Amino acid sequence: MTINRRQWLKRATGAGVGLAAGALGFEEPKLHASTKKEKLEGVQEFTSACNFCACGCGMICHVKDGELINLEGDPDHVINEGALCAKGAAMSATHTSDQRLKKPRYRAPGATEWTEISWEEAFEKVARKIKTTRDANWIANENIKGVDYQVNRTDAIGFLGGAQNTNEDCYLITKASRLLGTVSVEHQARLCHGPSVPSLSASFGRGAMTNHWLDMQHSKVFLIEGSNVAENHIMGMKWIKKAQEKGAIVIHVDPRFTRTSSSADIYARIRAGSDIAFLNAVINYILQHKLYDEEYVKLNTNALLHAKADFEFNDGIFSGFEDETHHYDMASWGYELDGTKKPSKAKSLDDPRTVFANLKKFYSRYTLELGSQISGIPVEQIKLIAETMAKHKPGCVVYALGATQHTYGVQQIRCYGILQLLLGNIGVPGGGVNALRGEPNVQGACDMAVLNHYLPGYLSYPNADQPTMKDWTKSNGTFRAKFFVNCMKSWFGDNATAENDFGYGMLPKRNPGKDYTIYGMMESALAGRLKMLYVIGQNPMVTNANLKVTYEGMAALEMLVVQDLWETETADFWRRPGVNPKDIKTEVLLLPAAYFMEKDGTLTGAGRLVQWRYAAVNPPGEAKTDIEILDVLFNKLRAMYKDSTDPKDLPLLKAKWDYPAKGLSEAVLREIGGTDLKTGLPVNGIADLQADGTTACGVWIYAGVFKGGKNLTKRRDNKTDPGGLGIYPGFAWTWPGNMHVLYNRASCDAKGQPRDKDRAIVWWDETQKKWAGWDTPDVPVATDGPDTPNGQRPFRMNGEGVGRLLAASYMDPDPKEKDLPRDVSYVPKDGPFPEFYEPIESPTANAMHPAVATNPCVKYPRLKTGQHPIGTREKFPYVLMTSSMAEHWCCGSVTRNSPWLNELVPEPVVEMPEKLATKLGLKHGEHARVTSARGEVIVKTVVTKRMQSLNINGEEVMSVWMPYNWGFKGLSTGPSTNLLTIDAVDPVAGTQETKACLVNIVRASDENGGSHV
Amino acid sequence: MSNATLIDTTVCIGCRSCQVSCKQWNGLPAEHTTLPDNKLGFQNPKLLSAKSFVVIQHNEIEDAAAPGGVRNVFVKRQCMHCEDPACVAACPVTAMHKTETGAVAYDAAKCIGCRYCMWACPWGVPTAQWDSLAPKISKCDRCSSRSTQQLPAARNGERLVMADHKSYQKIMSEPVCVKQCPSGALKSGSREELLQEAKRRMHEHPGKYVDHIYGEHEAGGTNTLYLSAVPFEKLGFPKIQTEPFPHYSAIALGSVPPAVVGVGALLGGAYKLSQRRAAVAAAEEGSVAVLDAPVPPSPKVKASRSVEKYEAPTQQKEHHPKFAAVSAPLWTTANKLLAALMGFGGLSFLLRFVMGIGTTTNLSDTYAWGLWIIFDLVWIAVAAGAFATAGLIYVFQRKDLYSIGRSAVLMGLLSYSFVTVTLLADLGLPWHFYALALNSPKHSAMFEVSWCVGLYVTILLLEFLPVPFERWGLTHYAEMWKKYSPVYVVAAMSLFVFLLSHNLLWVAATAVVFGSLAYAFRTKEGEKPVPIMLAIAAVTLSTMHQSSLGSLFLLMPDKLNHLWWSPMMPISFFLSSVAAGTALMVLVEMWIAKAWNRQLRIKQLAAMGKVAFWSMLIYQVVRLADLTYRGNLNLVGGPKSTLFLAEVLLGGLLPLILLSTDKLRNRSGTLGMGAGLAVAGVVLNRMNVVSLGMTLRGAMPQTTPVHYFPSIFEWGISVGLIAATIFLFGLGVRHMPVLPPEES
Repeated sequence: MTINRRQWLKRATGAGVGLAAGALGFEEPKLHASTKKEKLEGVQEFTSACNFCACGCGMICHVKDGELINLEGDPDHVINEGALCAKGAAMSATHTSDQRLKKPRYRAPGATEWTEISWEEAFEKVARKIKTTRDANWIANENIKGVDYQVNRTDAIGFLGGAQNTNEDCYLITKASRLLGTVSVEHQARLCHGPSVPSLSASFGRGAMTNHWLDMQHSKVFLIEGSNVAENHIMGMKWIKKAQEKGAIVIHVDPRFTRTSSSADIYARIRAGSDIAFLNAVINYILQHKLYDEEYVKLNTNALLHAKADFEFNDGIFSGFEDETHHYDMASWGYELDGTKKPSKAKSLDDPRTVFANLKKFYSRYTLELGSQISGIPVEQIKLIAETMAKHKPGCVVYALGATQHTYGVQQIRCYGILQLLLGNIGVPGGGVNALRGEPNVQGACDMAVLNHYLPGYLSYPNADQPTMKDWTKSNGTFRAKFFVNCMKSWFGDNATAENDFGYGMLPKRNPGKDYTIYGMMESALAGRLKMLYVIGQNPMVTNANLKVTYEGMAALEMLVVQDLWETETADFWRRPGVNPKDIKTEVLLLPAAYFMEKDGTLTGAGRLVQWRYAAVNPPGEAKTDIEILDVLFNKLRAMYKDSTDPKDLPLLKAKWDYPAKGLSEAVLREIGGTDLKTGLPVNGIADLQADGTTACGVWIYAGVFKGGKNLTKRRDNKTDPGGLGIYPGFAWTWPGNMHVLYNRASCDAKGQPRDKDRAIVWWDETQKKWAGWDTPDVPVATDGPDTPNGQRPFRMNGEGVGRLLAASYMDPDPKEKDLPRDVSYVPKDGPFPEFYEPIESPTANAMHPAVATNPCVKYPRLKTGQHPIGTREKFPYVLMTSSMAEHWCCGSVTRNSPWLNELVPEPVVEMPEKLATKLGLKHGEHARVTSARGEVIVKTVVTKRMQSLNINGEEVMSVWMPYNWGFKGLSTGPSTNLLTIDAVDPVAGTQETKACLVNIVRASDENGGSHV
Repeated sequence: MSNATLIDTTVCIGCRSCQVSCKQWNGLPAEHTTLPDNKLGFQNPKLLSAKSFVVIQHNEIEDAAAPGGVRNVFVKRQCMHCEDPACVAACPVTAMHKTETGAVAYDAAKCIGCRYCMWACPWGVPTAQWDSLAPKISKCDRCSSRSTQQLPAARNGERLVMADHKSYQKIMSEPVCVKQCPSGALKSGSREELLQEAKRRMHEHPGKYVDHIYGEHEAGGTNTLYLSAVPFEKLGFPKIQTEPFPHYSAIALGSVPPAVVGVGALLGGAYKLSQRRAAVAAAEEGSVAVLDAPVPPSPKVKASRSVEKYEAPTQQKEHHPKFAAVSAPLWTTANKLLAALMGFGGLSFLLRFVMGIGTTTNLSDTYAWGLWIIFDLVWIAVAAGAFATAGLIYVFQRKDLYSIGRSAVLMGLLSYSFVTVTLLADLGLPWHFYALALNSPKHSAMFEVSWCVGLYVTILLLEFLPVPFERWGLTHYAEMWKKYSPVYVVAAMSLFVFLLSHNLLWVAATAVVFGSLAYAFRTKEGEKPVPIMLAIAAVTLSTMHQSSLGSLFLLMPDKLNHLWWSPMMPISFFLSSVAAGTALMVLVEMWIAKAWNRQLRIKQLAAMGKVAFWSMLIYQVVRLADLTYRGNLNLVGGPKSTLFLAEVLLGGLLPLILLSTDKLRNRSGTLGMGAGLAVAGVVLNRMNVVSLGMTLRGAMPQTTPVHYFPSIFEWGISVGLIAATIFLFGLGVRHMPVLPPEES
């Protein structure tokens, strides 16, 4: 302790100040002491749910006289049972933070400062700009492959964000943006779990976490790979710990020894980017040693179906590849069909034409030795993991962004699907492939289709070459067309009729050749096509990979609107370090938004639990809720167009948009949940929805959320759990139809009886002649027994009704409609089986097929102007992996504005093994300069035993880790790691490869010390 | 029944929810932190502090058998909530207290900010609000404030009912950290249940845990219990004895009331005996032995001889000199320097209050006590000259020492007064001083010392008052002094015993003993009053507080090296204070002689030197015998033994040699050297005991060492007060009859 630290000199300069502070010093603790005892006297409680990750932890806000007194975990909540993680526990400070925005702000082109403006001015500016941009950049018709199509679209306006918002906000974002004519609608999911939806859909039929948080307590073994659940989904770890207490074995496969590893029974250090090689070796071992669940595989997967004879795989390429377009023709990936257009089925797994035979052949290349050579995991350990998984049932796969953020993320998750189908772990309590979603409502935002290629409920968004509903139905099936109609009825009301194709023509249509993802939008801005970007609670200036492109894209915009709680890096991009604001001509509006404890509405956690949050307090200053801003803005725009007769403005004028100012969110939720238009009452479920326009349902998978006229998301029955499975059917509401474990029919045998009597979840009740159980049975029709075709569709959302080892292209014929399919199975465009490819920037050659080192479907660089360089291993010898951490969250705008969290982790770092530090002459705490082909940052070094080098293909590979949560705004600032990362993306999902790229590291000279961007 | 928390470190995932939850509920601010040391992983903050009651300690331990070769062990560190806590035993005002549910809680309204709790806690839990101008102690109280919270008015707009009340109470009865823990690493419950639970887990998972529940027996048992897979030493847990710490101080403090009665009676007896012996001697010599304080004549005498006030008795012996003010110029160079030091001291004192103790000192949670406490302890030891001299003169009738009595008392009075001033600066909340009167803890040495020193200062004042009375002829006040000082002594001693014992029998015994002494030694008609009651009180109180200063450190057997720590410390402290006090008087007198160029009263000083010799001898013998008896001699050669040897050889053996014979003692050079070394030895002893001999681990979890060197303001106040003592002593002897007139 030194005098210096106490800064007495500073204080001594003003004894008067000291005295004044002295008076405070006397008073503050006294007040504190007297209030603590009666802190909660007379408070009102409001229940809410956390807004960090997608665990969906319940929170209680204690409010007195309109002030938030206290905020803690809701002890009656089934997921967190009163607990919270450090971030959640710090949440109370976000409402009262001095950093919160309180008034709208405007930044004129070239201005160096913000100007505070009124809401009226702000609305006027935004609406006016939307109108002029839209009017000036309208594409009525577009020529695609030589055919002229009506597209009714503008590519000049983009919307970004939604995972931070309520379902109701998201629904209105989706609806408003499409009605305005833009399909450039994206949110955080693109950056994180983008691959999960297509991959899980391809395996099981739905793109969501198969089981749910509480269900993990039943697992006997966990394969945690691509997830640091103990740090990033802490309440998930709570349930894993409960299972572990009961003897479950936790396997953690990760390049980095994390807090999850410290709880693991088996830890396997893997090279970042080599997961598929490891997983395929595990799967091959299971296949070779017949460790799979044969009864399950035969009954519940497509193993016995006959694959097409011309299906081939050679040297890293599946049959049907077109070199020039990086594209596959999937025709050869299907089944041999019988006379009824159904796949033909073998009697035995030994039939050489089966999917299973193809699978075994494909996998036979993945020996333990090869898996080890590529991944760095010892042969014995791969074997141990395979045997442990096979021996202990049910087993649960847990993954997050470690699996998704690759150029083959969809395929890696497919490995999990195949593994779990082989082991019989899907549809059973304690099993599943559990995608741990990262943002509070990223699940809901996906459900609500804040993504350019979806309509609500994962209906494919219509492309320009599908000019009519029938064209759309041809590639999507009649089953989903019904829900499309219901969505259109919600959007256009009486103006959606059978005669006008339910308004289908009014929707803007995507150009299938264009990239509308967040990366595409930035590139479109650079090309001068995207003029205006409206960002709601997202911060691409920290979270986009290869940030330089984002910087430049932002500066190319005419107007940027940011709706947020904080002055984020995105809002302030025009005065980031190193640029002259005067050079940036973008107009910027910063609209102060309300945070979750300040607004009503629902969010949907990773386990698909939809829960209501109550507004506990008013937003600070003049801040408004997102839904109010959207509603006001839309109405304002509509008013601007009210006299228009231009066909382009029809969707705006014909839309049904008549929400009450009070109870706005609940009114929107009613629309989402569906209405029987004949009675005006809410529908009770998906089964009530009609294709003829007599029902309207905004989001079909949420049908029934207002069952019986009650808002079921408000339910709080945490006592009733009839099967003891942690389902709590009376607690909030889970989509679809309050079903907690998806595909639960697969837990039964052919006769519909539970295979594991101890963990029965659903069954066919022969006496009542219907499916029954503790959970909502996942069957097409509850009264169609096991002796009917509907009774044998455990994966009913797939056309073939079974889980898919081979993601075959398949259209299920509709018995009623001759020329239309009933359903169409989803196929990821980069392969029906998961093949191993190296990351775009890799430290080693591809040991499987050196000529096809990376995913052949990936197009990178996309830009020909030099912003997409690829670093070589000679210049950039180390592997960089990036992630979030327990104490800071995503872009960090919330957590870095929380002093309590900054205290826990004050600054960004680069974590490296001792061996590398020695080689570089770097000591713990010294500054390192980390460079990639794209950028450079200087951060402090953390030297730790938790990091180790690996032997890969006979060479030593060193990896480092950096958190990506920092930027130049907020109470804790630091360089953004995404300046280094690569924005090569998964060809299916558009998600960037932030889990593996190449960097070089040198010791930063001391004068350059300190973090800078 | 005690509520406890079981912390299973094998379950903890290090998410630090407990850290933030604690801050959220308790309204604690964030600390400014930096990247921790690489062994600490993400641990932050590094230590407990007034802003952090909980720290998750990160450990990265290499272990080939562990998955990944590393054991990442997270340990929630916080107050141990001892069953019989040292901090509670330490607290002089019961601010630190045990609640009914077993928590150790803190009441800021009572706290005086002495920080003895911080010094006493073997784990480094209590911390001070160094940033505040009113620095209170901060620590976990197991969320004592949560259990009393009322049921909220409504939830989501609907009224809550009694059924909710029950579950609400249950939830709120747990500390917030336990309630919010996601991993299940924390469990709250009754201590007995949790111990069973811990044993069950150890039994069900053989080999998983080390065979030790930390907290089961440590310090007599704590309400924070730990399970671990690695030995607790590897996690930085200190090895703590199983005996509750307060046991030692309880024995010492428990013996205070009987000691007061006993010492009082003994001194009375000794006085009676010596009086008798003197009377016999006088009778033999045919003269009346009169020993006096500066005594006004009895009213009768006064009436007849009203002109010659305060004239010394007619029958004088040569050892019964008069006193006179010294006439010397005040503003000498030395005094100017002293005044300058005093000025800086005064400024430092002012700044200490304007800027706060944390800002002006280098004290910390590790060095909660620093220079000022050393200064206090040293000064109290060396100021023992006053009581030793008074005791010798009055109780043991050492009339030969009479001439140094007044200067001894003045020196004592000034020293004690300034110790009190230092305490004022050192206390975090000195304006809460009245709390010492409103609360009486069971066995707090600090409480005993506070009262004892406080009362002793009043006794010293009373002892000295006759000097100004004499100087300014305040007859009336002198009369009152004569009448009431014995009464005051009886009242003060009875009060003291009451506060220490809460036992009316002991109070009665004290009142009876001191009352009868006062009656027996009352000034009879025609007799010159003798301040014997004050002298008895002075010796009794000094015996008590000098020894209790040793008792202060009985709570720290795990911190203080056993070269010093011993249950005998109270006795050692008393004995050494007599040696130091008498030796210092020798030095003071030598300084006086030198300063004013007066004759050195070598005879008296040699006599004091003899007393110093014997007390030093007894002290050293007792101490070495105790060391030998405890088998701690083998610690010599271990850490800190240089300090010990310096103390024993240079500050013990050498002065004993120098003061061993009359011949040596009558040589001013050897006498001065011997006295100086004896004082230095005791000074070093006090420094060793307070700080140098301690292994200070600092705030839990002791992952960041803190160093200490007193700040300029700490030096300012201490040096300023020494200067003030010397200056005021000089001033006093210039204006009052303190020193005998120089015989030409």
